[in-house]
Amino acid sequence: MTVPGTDISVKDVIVGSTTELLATFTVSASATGGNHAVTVKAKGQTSDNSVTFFVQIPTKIRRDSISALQNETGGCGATKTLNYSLLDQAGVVISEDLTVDEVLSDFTSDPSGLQQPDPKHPPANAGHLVDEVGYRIPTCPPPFTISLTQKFTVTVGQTTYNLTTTNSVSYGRDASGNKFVTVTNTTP
Amino acid sequence: MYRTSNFAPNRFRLAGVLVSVLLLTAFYIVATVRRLPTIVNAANHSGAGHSISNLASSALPQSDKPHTMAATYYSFQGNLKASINLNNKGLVPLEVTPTLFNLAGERLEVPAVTVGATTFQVFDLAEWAGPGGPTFQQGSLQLFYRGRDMLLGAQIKIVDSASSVIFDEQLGEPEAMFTSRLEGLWWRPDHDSQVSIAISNTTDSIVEGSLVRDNKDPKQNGSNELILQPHQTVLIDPALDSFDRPAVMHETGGLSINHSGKPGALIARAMIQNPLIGFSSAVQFADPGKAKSSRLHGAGLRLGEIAGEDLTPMLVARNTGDETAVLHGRIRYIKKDGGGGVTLLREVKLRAGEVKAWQLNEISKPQGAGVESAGLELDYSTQTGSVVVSALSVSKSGNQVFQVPMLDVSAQKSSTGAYPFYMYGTSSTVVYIKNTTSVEQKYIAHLNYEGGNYRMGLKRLAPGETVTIDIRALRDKQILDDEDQTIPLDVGHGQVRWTLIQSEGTDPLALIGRAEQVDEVKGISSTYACQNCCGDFFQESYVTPSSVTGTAGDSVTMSAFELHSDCYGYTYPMEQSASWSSSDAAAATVSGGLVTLIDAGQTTITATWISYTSVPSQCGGSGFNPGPIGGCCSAASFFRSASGTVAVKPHLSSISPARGLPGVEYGVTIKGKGFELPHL
Repeated sequence: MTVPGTDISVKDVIVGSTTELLATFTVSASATGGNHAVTVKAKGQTSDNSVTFFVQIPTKIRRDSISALQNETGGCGATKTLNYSLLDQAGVVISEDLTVDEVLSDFTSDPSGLQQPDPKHPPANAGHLVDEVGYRIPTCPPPFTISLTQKFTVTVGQTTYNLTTTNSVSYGRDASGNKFVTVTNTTP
Repeated sequence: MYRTSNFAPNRFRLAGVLVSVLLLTAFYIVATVRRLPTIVNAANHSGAGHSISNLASSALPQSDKPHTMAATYYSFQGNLKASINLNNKGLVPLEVTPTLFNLAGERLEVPAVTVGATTFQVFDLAEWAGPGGPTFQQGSLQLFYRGRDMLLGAQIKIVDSASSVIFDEQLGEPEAMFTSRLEGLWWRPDHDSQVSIAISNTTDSIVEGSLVRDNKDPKQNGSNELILQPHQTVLIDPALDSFDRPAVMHETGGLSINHSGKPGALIARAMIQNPLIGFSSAVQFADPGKAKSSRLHGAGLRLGEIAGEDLTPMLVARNTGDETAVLHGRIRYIKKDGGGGVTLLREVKLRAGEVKAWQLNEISKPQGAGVESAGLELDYSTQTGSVVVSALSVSKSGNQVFQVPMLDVSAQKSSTGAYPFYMYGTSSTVVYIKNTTSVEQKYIAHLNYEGGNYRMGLKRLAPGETVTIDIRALRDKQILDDEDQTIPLDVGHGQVRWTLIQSEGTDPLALIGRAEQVDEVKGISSTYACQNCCGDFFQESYVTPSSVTGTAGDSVTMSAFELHSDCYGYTYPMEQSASWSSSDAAAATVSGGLVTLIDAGQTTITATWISYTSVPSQCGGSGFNPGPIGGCCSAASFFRSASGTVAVKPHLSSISPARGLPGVEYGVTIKGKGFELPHL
């Protein structure tokens, strides 16, 4: 069994039958994303066709849904729940269990001096992850607004991939006591 | 009168003639493109085709043997038009140098013409003779070329279309004659029909001889002394001209020529015509020395009706020997409904010197109407060459005349043919091939025309059977050939070639053939028969496809072929019935040519068969007449084999998982076919 190049190495090939082969593919950490042709040679004859093994590069998360504003009961707070899928460079879900790391920046608050939230690390189970955006505090404070930029990374092995998805997040409570959470997705 | 000094002034090299010839050439030339065998691999597998091409001229030993062919007479006087058809059977253009002689024997050298490869060209003799002036409006003709024997076929046609009169003459080589004796006969359908005899001296020397008129009434017999100057042609009315006594011409009669020159020094033909009824008939004089047996065969006897007129088949025979000859004849026919039969003809006795004409009434008109093709056979009891015969079918009005050359099969050169075919206006070509033996025979025939060819494949002829190949019908009905091709509807002319495919123990001269050019509307027909110098021979063997690539479960049919060649290098494939084997049955098996791909690997598929063919390189050059390839070669049985390769490749259908991340290891399953199991 052959995969040209050094991106994928093949070992432990087992011929299960004349119609089935088993093998171990090791994808190099630096493998080029995309299709890699796989051919088979038997009795000196190379297969008349090839199948492709696609190396997925984590590229972005796709927002699949966003919930309505959820008022926190027993305190003061408001949240929205967002469901995401982790996608590769071709827009295909990466069906693996990985952890997505949240990266927050551009934090501003009104009034100033409010505390910046800690970044979270939601798991992506089989490529699907859930995030919750908003605030949850014991008593309602005076009117306030917090704005920040939310980005994501994924680490596979020793390699961290910066995802292209960016959310502009704003949440708080206005002078009339209305709570709000807005998440504007700007995934290219 | 022969005058040496007259030769030089009559040599013409006129550009006008050349221009006319070129114009005709442009119209008739046929550039033959040979079709390569189609390589088809099952399931679109790639496969290398076996390349077939005609042998380059250099692949066969070259021959620059000189040949001179002669025609007795041409004329374009009055309403007559005279043309000559030059049929080149070779693979390269052929230069032909014509020379015309007027009646007095004066010479007119015509610029050489080049006839395209494997095609024919028709030239107007008035164009050739024009520079010679009025005295060259009639005369004789010779052609010179270099090459293999019988490479060139040639036929003169003298036609008066308005009167439905045609006299055709196929040119031969005078040097091929055996004796200085010529025997002919005449048959007139009525008293108004005129008989004229043309006798031509083919040599540069004076030839003396005699023409004897053998009339039905001995008292009417007469003789005429002949003194022919070099290349002089004389036209003689046997009733009047110069005989020691004039005669009342009977319905039939005989003509004998004996001369002092070498064999072939004089050639002669009789022309019988009655323009009022459109009757015409040409009689070629026979050289009795050529005969090798006392059996004659005629291919393609017309029966039934044509253009609304009943045809009457008849025979005219003359006993030139000293004893009474007893004639027995048969008509073998194939009906349109596929049945066949043999009609025995009544016994006819011919006294020494007697000439008889009789209708073949044994085959009834209703019987004749249902006949698709027929052949004629005639045996005579006296020594070989002692009976000359003319066979023909004549319509009631006399307007339609179909002559059937009666051939001594044993005296033929080969069982092959290469004829022009022509289908313009109301004129069509029909080819007849007759099995002259009492056992089944096989032949193969094909048509060459501009842009392609049409292969009729291997055909069988029952004992005595004559097959009729109507080329216009093949074209117009778009009948598929052996390779599922049709003749394009715009094809109007070309060359038809056929050859006997020998089997062990069969006669190499088993088949005869001819082409008949017929214009029913104009009431004119002519016959053409030109053989090759030798029978065809084996060139190489191969299988096709020669290389197959596929995957397990695929199948492909391989076919075994021999490449045969005629003595001019024209090649064609012959499919063979073979036994098949595979060198690695684990990779692919084969049965009856059907190859089934089993598992990955490569195997050689071999076809073997017994071939009964000629192989010139194994003839040793002995026992053959001088020919193009060291002489004609007898056929023998040979063990043949040919191989092709089959590569069976694995084929992949799926991989799972089909995606993965960098830096991760996956257990992958690939499904497909043709994976090699480990040998434990």
